[in-house]
Amino acid sequence: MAAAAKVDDELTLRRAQRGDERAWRDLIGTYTKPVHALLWRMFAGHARDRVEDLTQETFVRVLKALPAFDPKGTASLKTWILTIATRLALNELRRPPPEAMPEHVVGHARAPHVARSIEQAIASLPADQRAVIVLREVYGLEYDELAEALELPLNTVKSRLSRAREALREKLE
Amino acid sequence: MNLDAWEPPDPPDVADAVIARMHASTPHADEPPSRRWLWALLALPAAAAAIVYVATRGDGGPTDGTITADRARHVELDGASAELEPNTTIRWHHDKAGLRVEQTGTATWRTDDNLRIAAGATSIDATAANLRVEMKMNRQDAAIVATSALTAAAVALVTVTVYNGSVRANNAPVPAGTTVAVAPRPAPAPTVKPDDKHQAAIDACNDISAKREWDKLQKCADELQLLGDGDTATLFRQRAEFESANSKIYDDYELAYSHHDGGKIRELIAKIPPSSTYAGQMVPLATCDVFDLKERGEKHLANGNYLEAEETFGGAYDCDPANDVALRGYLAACKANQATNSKVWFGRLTEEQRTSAQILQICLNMGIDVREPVKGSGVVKLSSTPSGAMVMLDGKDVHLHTPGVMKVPAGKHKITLVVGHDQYTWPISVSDKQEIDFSKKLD
Repeated sequence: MAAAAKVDDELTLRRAQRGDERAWRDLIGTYTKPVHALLWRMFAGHARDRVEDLTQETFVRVLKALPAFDPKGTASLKTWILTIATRLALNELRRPPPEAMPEHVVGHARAPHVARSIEQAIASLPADQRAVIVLREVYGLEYDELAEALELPLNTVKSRLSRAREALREKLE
Repeated sequence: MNLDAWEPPDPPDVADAVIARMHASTPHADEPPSRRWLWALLALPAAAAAIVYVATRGDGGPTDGTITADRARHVELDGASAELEPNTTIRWHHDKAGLRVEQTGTATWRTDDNLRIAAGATSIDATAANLRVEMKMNRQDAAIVATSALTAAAVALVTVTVYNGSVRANNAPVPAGTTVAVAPRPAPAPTVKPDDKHQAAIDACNDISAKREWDKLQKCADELQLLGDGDTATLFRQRAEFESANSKIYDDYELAYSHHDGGKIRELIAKIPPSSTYAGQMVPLATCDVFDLKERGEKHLANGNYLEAEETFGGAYDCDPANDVALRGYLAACKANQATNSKVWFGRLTEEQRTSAQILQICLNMGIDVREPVKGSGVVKLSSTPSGAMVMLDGKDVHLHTPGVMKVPAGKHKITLVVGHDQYTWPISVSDKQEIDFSKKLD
């Protein structure tokens, strides 16, 4: 992906870390889709009018924290950004539910009925389990990355993932 | 588990809104680009004429002009941008072939199109590239030859570093990832080919610098000096001195990190200059809301959800290894009938607590005697790049160097790898009969 290569270029990242606006745009352009998609999925069964705001908020936090990001550290840039988005979503989901009704939109599914089933099954999971299953199954994060993203011990990640999979499987069967 | 059918809609374009919010917290920076030039003009010191900006402007922004930067500053031109270092002057215009710039001083360029930079007698052509052009006066030669700015520029030493893209210096290609010194061309002398020995010495210094061997870099700079390149030698020497001081801050940071001392870590991050190579390596401890975790743990305990409570206190303990958290974690683990975890939590209690019959009884009621050692062990296969790192387990030397294998009792531990004066620590959780590949890159 050309855009990703552009941002993964070390110099562009360094420029973004120094506050170069064009590099910021490259970074936002590259990661808007995965961040928005993650938040949208995390808000399954909830009103999704906050998703765009949270996408913005994620990038504001990313850009503010970017100078301290270590590209040679344990987390890749993408994992780090998704981590920030996940924590924001979890914080938001832990608040008392708003009065607005959940949307019925289930996205641009290739198979709308399947998508609706997945949406309902995911929506029934507690937020913590939803985070772990979305990050693992959709974004392919490794266990240690999940542990870091969700600030959980590795064993907890595994057990939580196992419980989430079991619950999803039951609902999708 | 296949969730492919569950696709979200296309995302909105949030870049403008995000950048506007970022600028909202930066004075003046929220102005549109065209008005930033106005700020530059308003910021002109009356006497020193630190920034001189003369430009004609089309619809797309400035098309030609001159800037002298009195401090490090960012410049956006049509089709290119530059980070100018203090006392750098650029004069630019566009012609049919692209952007043309005359430069004195040092600038880092990024161009999407064609850019030609004239730095003294050196001509640099760049296409879709990121590069740094340094122009340093060789004062000795300048004193002899130069009586005007023009002739002084002709004897300047130009160093070109190419990060990526297509770049040619005096028509010779400069590959990405390399630095070349373009020898000065004293007018009216013919073109001088870059000296191989000189270039090899610069390459060697660059390699040493990349490895952060600052003592060696000083020596390398001395060798460059002997080859007659005093200016580049000075640059390397300055870098060695600068980073040598920063490496001490970094050592303190590593120590603070191994002690989970978040306050000290923040203090050291604030202290490290942003231009240091260490700056990007120094990150704060993971932020976590220990109060929230404790509160949630308490709720789980009150509701009898002991497994969840133990997990939550585990997260709280990772944030802040406080005794009250350890005690609650122990209580939850006992109640959840988690023998191994109960023993791990028991080990985190104070000596006084560990000898309290009341505390022991909590687990004994569940049939767990936490005084028995944790049963079982796992195997950790250690490797590192570079190899030969000394291995420590929970702060103790285990008389092993990477690559190697060690048996570790089940439970939570810390593994430290030591290379020279640098040490790196990671937490690790080992279960009975588990095999863990522990491979780390140390740089």
